[in-house]
Amino acid sequence: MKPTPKPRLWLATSLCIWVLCAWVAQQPAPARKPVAARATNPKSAVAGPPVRRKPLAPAHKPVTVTEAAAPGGLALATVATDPETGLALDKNLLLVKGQCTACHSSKLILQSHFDREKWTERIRWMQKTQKLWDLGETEPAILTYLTTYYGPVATPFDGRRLPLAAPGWYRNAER
Amino acid sequence: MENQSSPLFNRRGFLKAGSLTTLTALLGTNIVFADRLPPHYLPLAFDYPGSPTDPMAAKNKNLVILNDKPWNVETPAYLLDDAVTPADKMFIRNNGLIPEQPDAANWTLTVNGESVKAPKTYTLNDLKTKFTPYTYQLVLECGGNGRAGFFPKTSGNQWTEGGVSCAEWTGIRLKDLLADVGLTDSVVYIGYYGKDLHLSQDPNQPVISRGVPMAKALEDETLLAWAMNGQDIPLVHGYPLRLVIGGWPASVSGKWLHTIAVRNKVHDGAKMTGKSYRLPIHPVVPGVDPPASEFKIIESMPVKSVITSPRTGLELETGKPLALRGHAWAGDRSVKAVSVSIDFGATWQPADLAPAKNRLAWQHWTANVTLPTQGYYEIWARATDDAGVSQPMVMPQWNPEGYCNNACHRIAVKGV
Repeated sequence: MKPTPKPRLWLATSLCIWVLCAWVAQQPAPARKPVAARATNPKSAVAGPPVRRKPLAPAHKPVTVTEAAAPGGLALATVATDPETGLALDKNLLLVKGQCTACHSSKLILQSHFDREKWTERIRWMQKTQKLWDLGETEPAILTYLTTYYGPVATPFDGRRLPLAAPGWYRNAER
Repeated sequence: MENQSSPLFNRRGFLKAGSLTTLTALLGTNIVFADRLPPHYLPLAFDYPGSPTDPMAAKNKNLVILNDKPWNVETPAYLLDDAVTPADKMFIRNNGLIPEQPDAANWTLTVNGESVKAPKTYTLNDLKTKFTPYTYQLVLECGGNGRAGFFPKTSGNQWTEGGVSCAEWTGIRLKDLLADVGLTDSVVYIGYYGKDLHLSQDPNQPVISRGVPMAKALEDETLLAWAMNGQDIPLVHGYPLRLVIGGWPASVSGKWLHTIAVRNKVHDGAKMTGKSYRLPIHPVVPGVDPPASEFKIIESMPVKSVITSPRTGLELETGKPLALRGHAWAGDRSVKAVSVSIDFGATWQPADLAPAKNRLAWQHWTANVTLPTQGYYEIWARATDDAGVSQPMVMPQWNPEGYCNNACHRIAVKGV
């Protein structure tokens, strides 16, 4: 394909957009309106275990400190999250953003609680059926990231049914 | 968007190294593993939040977004209170990206496959004018509805109760269309193909292509629908044409439908195989994941009910009657009875249960209870189908993919 002025213009425009996006992504961004603002309300975890309840990231903070399940879910660690994806900040977050949320929403990770074996199985499934590429030498680091922050939930629970999560109590019978 | 012909990509669809170097220089950082980005992939999509085709723009603001790429959105139980689910409260379960601007005027449906005498193509107008239209209320429930209640946790969107709807669908019977096409004696299954786009944005990668056995395909209520609640089907729900097959996992009701294959074997499209929409043939210990050969396809969904009023969390005066209502459904079966309990299942009282508007529609129930003392109560609802099968009160048979959790719905109320 011969380069013509039009493709060059397209390229230049694309680069500008990329640079703009990258710049925006790095801003403290007081006015960025995250998707979560109207979404994933705490009720979504009605039947979930208490340890996985995460408050919404306030929209006005570049880096939010929130609760994430620690390995094994035994203790609540205070983990800073990435405002764009809600994923735990970590030296390996960039790997996850480049290879996981390139295709699908981070919400799929945020909802999950798997051990290393199950996360590995998920990656193999995506490679087999969803065109995920070979993660190469980054795979162990990604698996460590996923199991550290999105590992199995440990609860003193026999597996049959959890207590209901505390609802937002209200008095008015009329909705 | 023709990613393949864009100057950022070479003819195989990979990002050109030169462009990448330039980008890297401009950004002052490496784009991690850009060389491993899939072919045709540009990190842009058109149904992102805030875009002109953002499906949430027309939705009730209290729906819960489980996922936005692809869109998976559930309806809190109290918002399912309508007798017929309106579009703004209908759950979304997408597997890929919403097709951009489907052209209804030039939309066609092709019927092909091993078991047609000859392939045949119809325009949407042919379907609307050459066949008899029917309207039915049909329950569509995500196979993974209730997944959040499984322990150990299973993968996929963590649906609570709200991956279900019962809207009024208008279209033609699939059996009328197949009779017009002409089938051979070898028919076993039908499979659908839709115009949604894979998350990888590779137009050749199928997103989801499921189907049903012929007996289900030929039921009166199996529709090729172009209208929902008397309007064009909303884009996110399959405009301009979709299958609607009530009572089975909603993933058999293919959206943005352009082709139906009539197969001489069980359809083997995307998400028909492996462990997708399948349960272990033999019950497993929770946490045990047998090989794919030990799984069977989910057919009818199990009996289930939901409490749509009041919303969980109500504090009410002790001794005052509380009106309850909701819906119940049972896959291919009908619901025979609904009971409610305010004492964790120790005692049950029968609810009033209305007959279904038509086969495969949900049934409405009402009941009145009174909280005898101050304190914390849970209201449970339990439906029983016409074969005598009831909803379990605890977690039902655990399964590795987290399907078919029909444990009774519970809400919390307080006497004050």
